[in-house]
Amino acid sequence: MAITAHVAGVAVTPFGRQPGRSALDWQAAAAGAALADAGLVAPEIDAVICGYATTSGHLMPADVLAERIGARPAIAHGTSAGGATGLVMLAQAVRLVRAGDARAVLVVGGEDRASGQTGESSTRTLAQVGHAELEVPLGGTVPAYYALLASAYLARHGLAPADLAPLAVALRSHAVTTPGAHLTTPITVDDVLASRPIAEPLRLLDCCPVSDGGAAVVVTAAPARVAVTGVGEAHRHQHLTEADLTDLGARRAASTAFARAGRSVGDVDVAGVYDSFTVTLAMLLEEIGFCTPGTAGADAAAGRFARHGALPLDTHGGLLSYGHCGVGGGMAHLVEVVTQLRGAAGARQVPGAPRVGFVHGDGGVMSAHASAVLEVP
Amino acid sequence: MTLAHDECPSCGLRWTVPRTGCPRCGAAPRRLSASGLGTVAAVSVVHPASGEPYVLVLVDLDEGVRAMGRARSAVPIGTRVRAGLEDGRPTFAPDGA
Ligand SMILES: [Zn+2]
Repeated sequence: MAITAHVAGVAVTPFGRQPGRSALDWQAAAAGAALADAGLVAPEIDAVICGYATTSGHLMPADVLAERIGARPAIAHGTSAGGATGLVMLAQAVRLVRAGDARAVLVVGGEDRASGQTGESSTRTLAQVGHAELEVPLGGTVPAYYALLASAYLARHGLAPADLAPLAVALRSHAVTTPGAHLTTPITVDDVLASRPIAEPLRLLDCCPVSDGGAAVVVTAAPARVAVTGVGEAHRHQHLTEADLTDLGARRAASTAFARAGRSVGDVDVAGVYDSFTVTLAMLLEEIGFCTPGTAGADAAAGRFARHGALPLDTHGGLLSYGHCGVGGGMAHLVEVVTQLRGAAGARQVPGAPRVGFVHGDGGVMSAHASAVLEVP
Repeated sequence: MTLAHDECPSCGLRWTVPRTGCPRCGAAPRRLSASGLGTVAAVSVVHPASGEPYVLVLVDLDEGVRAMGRARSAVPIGTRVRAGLEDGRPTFAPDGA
């Protein structure tokens, strides 16, 4: 009989500028909390998968984490797929469990990304997702690459920056009531448009902050309340210059996950979609099929993504407001969707007992895509 | 200036960044030169944490490939541009200007 993978434990730490902990400290903190949530101890884990941290650059992030927390797994390895890393690791954990090669997999991301390096150093490191000869020497940075995408997006649909801003406003409204969120002051579309330009058309409030923090999940063969019914990936390009804007890979990754689950976008009760910038979220929602092309911002303005809306989205506040500590930032969406499916989100619980969740991560410049469908059976 | 790009001798697909094989059919590509003439597909004025703002563009070259470059000014999407070399970087300006 086929083995179904379940998410038995989840944890996310508070995100923000929180000096004093190393990347490994954040990873260990999140791992310990996820194990406790699963009712397991580290020696019961038979696989550890840990995401890279730009501040540590350790050659063996999973082995060093396993040692720190007292695990001696049969399988351990690091993973690097940019912002998609968390969901790529989830997909790998699910495959290990389905194959019968592991029964309890610990998946971890954590980093002192805000306080472990200067802002300029962080910008320089992240810019290396660009092409070393053809993009980076021009002054390419991650915000600049996404700003180029944003300019093309706005031109294609005849929109203005004010049409993307409602996405930032909607996610901030979620973070206001989320314990541990990095940014919690309510904002308006005018605030977004008045914030300083980073790489036009993107302004400061179109961009996620850089945070310290961590997140972890435990994937098991043993039954738990939430099952992972489908995962999918797509890797179509690395560099923006080579991106096919009509087929970035998001739809392919999501379609694979939906097909495996026997579900479609219309079945989703709660979603967590990667949102490094407002335009990232808009383009992903539209390519995956949650929104008609050009309308993601209008949907946000109309309240569609509110907790009581038709498609509750990034209900913890997303990268834009809960914060972005690197790999753990993309995993926070997964933790939140599982928490919502469990009905354990407290004051921010989505009404109506959601049963089908969807999460998506994007790494690089819309380069690496990973999706998962989660369900309460 | 001219801009290098690859072409697949088997299926004709063209692209910008050096590859060892065609992503459509797998054949070994040959390196060609593009004229440097094209149309602006994306533009951003980048404001670095320190230093002066600068303009980045994506340009769809007439040879059917996309290139990233600097631009002398915030040229609107759709503008016809020609590549020159400034400070060692490909830099686009409106054609004929
Ligand atoms: Zn070919």
